[in-house]
Amino acid sequence: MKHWLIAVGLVSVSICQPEPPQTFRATSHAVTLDVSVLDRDRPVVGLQSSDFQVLDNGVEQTALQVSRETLPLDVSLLLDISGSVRLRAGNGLARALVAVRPLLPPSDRVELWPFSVALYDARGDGFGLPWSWAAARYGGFQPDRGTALFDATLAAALRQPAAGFRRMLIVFSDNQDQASFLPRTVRRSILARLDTVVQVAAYSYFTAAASGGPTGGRAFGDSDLLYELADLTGGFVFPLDTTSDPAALVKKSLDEFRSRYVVRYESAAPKSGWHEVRVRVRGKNYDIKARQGYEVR
Amino acid sequence: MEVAVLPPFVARLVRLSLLAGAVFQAGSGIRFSVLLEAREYASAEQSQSNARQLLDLYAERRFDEAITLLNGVRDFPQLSAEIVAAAAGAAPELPAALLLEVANGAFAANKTNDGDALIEAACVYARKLPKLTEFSLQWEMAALALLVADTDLSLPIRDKSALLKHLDHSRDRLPPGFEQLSLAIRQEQRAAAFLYSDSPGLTPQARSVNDYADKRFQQGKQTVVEAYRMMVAAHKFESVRGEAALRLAFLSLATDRTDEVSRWADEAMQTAHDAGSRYLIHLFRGRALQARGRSDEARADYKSASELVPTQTAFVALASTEFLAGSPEAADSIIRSLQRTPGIVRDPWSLYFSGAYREWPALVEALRKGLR
Repeated sequence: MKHWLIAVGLVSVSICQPEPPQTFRATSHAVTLDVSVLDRDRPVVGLQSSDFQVLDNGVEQTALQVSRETLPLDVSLLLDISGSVRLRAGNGLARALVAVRPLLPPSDRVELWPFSVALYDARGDGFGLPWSWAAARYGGFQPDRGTALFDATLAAALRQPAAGFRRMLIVFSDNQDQASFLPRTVRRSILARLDTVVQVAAYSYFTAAASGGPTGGRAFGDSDLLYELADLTGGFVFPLDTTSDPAALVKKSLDEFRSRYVVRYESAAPKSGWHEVRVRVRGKNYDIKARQGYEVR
Repeated sequence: MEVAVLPPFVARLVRLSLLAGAVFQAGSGIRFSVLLEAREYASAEQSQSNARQLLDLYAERRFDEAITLLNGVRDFPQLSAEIVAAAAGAAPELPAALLLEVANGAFAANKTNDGDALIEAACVYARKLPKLTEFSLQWEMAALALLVADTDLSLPIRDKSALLKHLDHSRDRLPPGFEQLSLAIRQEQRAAAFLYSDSPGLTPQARSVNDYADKRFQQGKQTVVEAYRMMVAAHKFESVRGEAALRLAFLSLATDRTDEVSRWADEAMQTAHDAGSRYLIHLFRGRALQARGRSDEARADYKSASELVPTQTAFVALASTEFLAGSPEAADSIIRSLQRTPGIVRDPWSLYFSGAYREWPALVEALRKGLR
């Protein structure tokens, strides 16, 4: 993992063996956490390293380094083009999103990944479409029957970030999935180990009107799988309804992402396996979002 | 003025006037006739427009939009008549798609008594077609399964006579065991809602878990177990054994019998001569092996699947094994390969719940003979 946002960078001595594959004896881990701190949906600014408390498998970490990153973003927007979403959003969804591009610095990378039963290949030579090209042709995208929301998200998430970029996915969907193949257990394992934040903008399948913001309550009832996508990667779910402005939501999501703190620390001689991480701000009851842990091999 | 029938252009003017909020003089004698005529005219115009739109949507394979339109239609007999009257070339995939809507329950779920009219229209329209498209070959299998499984009383079809009539013509041409297989597939299709997605409410550990979620999860499990039992019964017939074994590989996965998957997969592979079947077998076995922690073997199966049919499903499954084995760069490389794969590949996995489409060409030929 070469990206700056690597949650776990091995600072280790490796012992190469022909068979079985390489094993590593970890002497320390450089852990990087991408932390959102909100107070009633507004980013909290001005926090110092002494304000944060990080528990790594229950052990409080010291010598935290806290900063606000200015690296450019590598954003993939996964756009569910299935009929059920069109019913709610109309064909104007992507056109509305075109308005977002000028809001982003030219240094940011933004791609549109339309999908229904699979990622949609609109050009005939691959997906991951340039924003302007795809948005202009959105009306011509023809969905196949069914939606593979989770597999499509994994496909985009498994693409590694470009070097020197922070990576984020924004998934527009309505929580209908009839065609994903990989089971939830595999999906959870992958999401928990990603160094990409997944934000979800979702139309509710069950209710006409959505409510709540990132921290304003769970608008989808028992549709916890949507929240799982976001929670495991440190992202948010933004409920949508037919009156929502997708462009404004993308901007909100990007602003929230840019406002995050990056917390780094060295974990000495960590045990192999899953490490649960909890982040708090001392003495405050802020809404904090960060990935839920990392794995040491 | 008492007018029983108004010319269309007059009716249109009246309708436009009504729409524009024009005020009619009470007691003029024209109000009821005009209103009735205007309403009928508007209805006929709208229905014709719906039929045209529907034909266009199916011809362009915009199925989700078509079902949305269908579910919004009010004058369904009129729409059915328009479909029957349409030219054969207008939408050759129409009968398969219409039958599929009923088979899936997508249409019937929102209509009470129109499923039979829809099927009848599709059957009549199908007789016009000189040749079925590849899409029809695959998806009409669902309708055939519906035909054979005519004892299913849960389908909200008031009058199955059209279906049964066609079935009577073709039943003796079906291979032994096909009826059992079809019933088992039908049960599997019913279970699909619980199987091929982690649908909302299915998560047993959901944080907002409630009685509904628990009940639905249990109901889903029972449906899948029953599908497994019925498929084992179908497997006893030699003529459908290959298809049944393939489906038992999947149903073993779905019923947490991961240790059985390889046995069924190996048997199915012996009679699987098409790429689609072999692809599915590799996928199912790969998933079982992955669940049992045998990642290297799972990776080999997924790789074979991706080579047979280069789909997103196979590539993502393969990439998942690499990522979880600690090789994100290899996973990235696989995803980029997927990005470079030209064109849209029809995924047999997305068709899996549509029935035994691999058996379809011979069966559809038998059915079509019966339709003549």
